[in-house]
Amino acid sequence: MKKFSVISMLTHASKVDFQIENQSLRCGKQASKIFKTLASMLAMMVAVAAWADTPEKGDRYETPTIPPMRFETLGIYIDAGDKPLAAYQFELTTSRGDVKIVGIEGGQGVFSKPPYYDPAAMKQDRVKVGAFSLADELPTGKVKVAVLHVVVSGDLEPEYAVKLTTAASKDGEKIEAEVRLGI
Amino acid sequence: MRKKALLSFVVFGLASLGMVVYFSGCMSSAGRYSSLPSVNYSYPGLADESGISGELFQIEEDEVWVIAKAQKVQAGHSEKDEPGSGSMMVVVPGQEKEIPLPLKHTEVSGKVVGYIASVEVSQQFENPYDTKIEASYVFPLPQNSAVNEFIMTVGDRKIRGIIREREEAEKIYAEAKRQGYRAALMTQERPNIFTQKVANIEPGKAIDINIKYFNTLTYRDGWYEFAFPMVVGPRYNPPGSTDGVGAVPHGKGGSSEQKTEVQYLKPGQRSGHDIGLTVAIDAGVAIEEMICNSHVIKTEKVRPEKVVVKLSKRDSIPNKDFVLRYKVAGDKMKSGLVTHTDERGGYFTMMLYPPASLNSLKKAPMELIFVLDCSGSMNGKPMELSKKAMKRALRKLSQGDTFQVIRFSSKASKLGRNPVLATAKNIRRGLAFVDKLRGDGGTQMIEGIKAALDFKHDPKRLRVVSFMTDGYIGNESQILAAIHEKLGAARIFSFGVGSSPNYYLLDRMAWMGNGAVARIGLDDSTADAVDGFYDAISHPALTDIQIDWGGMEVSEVYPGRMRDLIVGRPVILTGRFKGTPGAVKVNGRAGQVDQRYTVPLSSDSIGEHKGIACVWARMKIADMNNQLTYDKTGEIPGMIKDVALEYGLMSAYTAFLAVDSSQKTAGDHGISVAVPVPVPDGVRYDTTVQ
Repeated sequence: MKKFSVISMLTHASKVDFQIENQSLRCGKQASKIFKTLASMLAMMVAVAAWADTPEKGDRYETPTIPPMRFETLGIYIDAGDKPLAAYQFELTTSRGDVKIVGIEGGQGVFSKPPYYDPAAMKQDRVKVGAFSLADELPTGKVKVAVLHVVVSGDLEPEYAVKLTTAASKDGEKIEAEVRLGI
Repeated sequence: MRKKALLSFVVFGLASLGMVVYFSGCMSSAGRYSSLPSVNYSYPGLADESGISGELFQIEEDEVWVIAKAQKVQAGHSEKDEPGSGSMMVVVPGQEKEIPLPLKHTEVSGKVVGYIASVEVSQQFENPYDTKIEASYVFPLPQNSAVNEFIMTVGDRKIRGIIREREEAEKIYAEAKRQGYRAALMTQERPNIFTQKVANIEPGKAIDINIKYFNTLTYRDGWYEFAFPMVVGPRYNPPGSTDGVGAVPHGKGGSSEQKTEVQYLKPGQRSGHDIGLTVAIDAGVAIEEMICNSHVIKTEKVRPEKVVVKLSKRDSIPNKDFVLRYKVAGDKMKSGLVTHTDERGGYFTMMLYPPASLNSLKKAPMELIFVLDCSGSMNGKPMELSKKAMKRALRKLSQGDTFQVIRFSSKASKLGRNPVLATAKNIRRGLAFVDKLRGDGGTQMIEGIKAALDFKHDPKRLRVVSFMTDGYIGNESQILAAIHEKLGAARIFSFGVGSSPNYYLLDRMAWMGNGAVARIGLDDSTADAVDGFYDAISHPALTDIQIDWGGMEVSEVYPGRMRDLIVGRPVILTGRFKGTPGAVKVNGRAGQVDQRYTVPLSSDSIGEHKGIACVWARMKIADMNNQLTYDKTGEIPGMIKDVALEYGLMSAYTAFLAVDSSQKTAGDHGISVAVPVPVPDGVRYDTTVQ
């Protein structure tokens, strides 16, 4: 679109140039030259201004055919009280908004490695994430276990819910724990 | 005890999350090393793969073997590269100047247990420019690799990539890039060619990409082959095609008008990108011999059945396939059957051997068609090797056989109008014909296929077609479709000639043609390759195979079409199962003779491997890909996508995507920089790069 405008300007400038040339027949050569020069400069300025308004190659971006996207992070925290946490699995759901996971990062300490996800569940738009640690020193209390990188499409503000499927101790025994979303 | 309990929990709770535990093989007697034959004739189509993870072996002994090969002269001086189009090491006589590239280093770490390899590849990108960049790198992986893990590392943060539908992943990546987020996208262009894109690398900053794949090794007569390709060879694309793989000079991106494009460094230029490789092998039985003709390596023997192999730093230019072969004690591997069961059910992979009785049966008369690729990319040493191999093959012809020699480049021509009897006079004619062949022109392989398969078959003879080529073409699907259409009763054996042949094409050709594939590397023995070929065709294959699985109730076995069994070449089968593995009975025909034999499966021969589900899924995808060459109903791509998404695997219709949404980088996303690569060792730039 921008390119087309620039071409139109240049075409118009040529017409002006032509009219000025006709005038020069009546008003003399010198006046004609001045007018001609001014018109050419004007045309060039218009063209340059139009080009300057065009985004650089790297910036150029056509109006997306996909809905607007925004990227967000979600921190996942688990609190197992005074019990050392060795393994966990949670499921993230969204009751509103179009959300897709685009990366899964680890949390703190022994859970800093990126957790695993269930691709079969992801195919069904369900997000199941889990990890375990064989470390001797395991965290107690509230610990950040994962960071989810998501892309949100559309205008709706998503509503998230996270459910702890299981949490376990070093011995593989199920332990009581709470999961929360944070930053 | 505690660890065991925790692992039980993991299997219970997270089996489907792709968590993996590696299994240990069996062990036995002491080993011996010696010099060995070099060419490993492998069975094609055995394609496949699966999954594990783990650390390299702990070194218990400090024994070091160094297997060295003749040193070659490294690339010399170079002209300066244009800024912003990739980094390279420029070496000028008397003065060394390094201009860094966005891809600094690739580190490969493999672990082989039995016949299943799990390999981690780390690509280390770094921005040497004063503006942000997007790095783009076209690279190879083994054609049967099941890529199931992708991690983007930014500083000390690691972000696991997600498998998504390709189109969706590409859109999200483009948007993340536009908005200034660090992002990475990996797509598959061919089963053995991939593209890595990393966006918004800030000046002076680094982003690593770690991928992991599983694949099965090839095997023949006790020899395993572990291969890792390091460079995509320059492909020839027929006029009018746009879906190929273009080969263009560095800095001329987009000039090939192909969907995928590789930029190549000129002769004398050298990329600063280097590669390190380590592979830990647990063969389960003692490793007797080991050879690597492609590279200089160091080996550390841990135990008789365990060896750690490292690529020498003197051989770190990624311009040829790494090919490691090793021979184990006895004539069969120990874990013939590998299983895994999780909440989705049971999976198995089995290496099925031909019966020993085949060796005593005589072959029927043959009609041997030798087809030699004489295109420009074969010019030089690949052509010399091919001619040498072909001449040996001609001299080994038996009386009563007939033969034909066909050459192709832009066009095809042949020794005579029809195959001729293998008389001394005709063989001399054939040798003289081969002597005159030269490499030049394009690679219109379709002409070679037509010339080899488009004439009337002599029903009294078994037609065996042998292709010798580097497979450097971008229209693989057209070639495979033509083979499917014209094959008839012929059997195809393909030889991959050169340092980095297109093994995907060669493997598929042999798979379709019920034959086998072999490598002839630049430093391999052509005699071994040809002798292996004759061993294979000198006895009838076991055909019409039926398998009684005993206590196993099996389903969805792949490859869907059972391969014929050829002497010395086992076939890998994979499937779903219920029940308990026991003895497996095999029925088939060798010539006119019925053959029956039993494969005993004791606990000694059954292994456990978490990655088998991945192996199965990848082989299912490969099977569907094969169908795509002749079934254009339109449903298959969707089916492939479903399997790939469910098992978290790379495919032509899925892609790995990782976005770091925690922080936007400042400013515009900068320029795109393609990573240029050297032409493969032994390949001439002037005859291959447009």
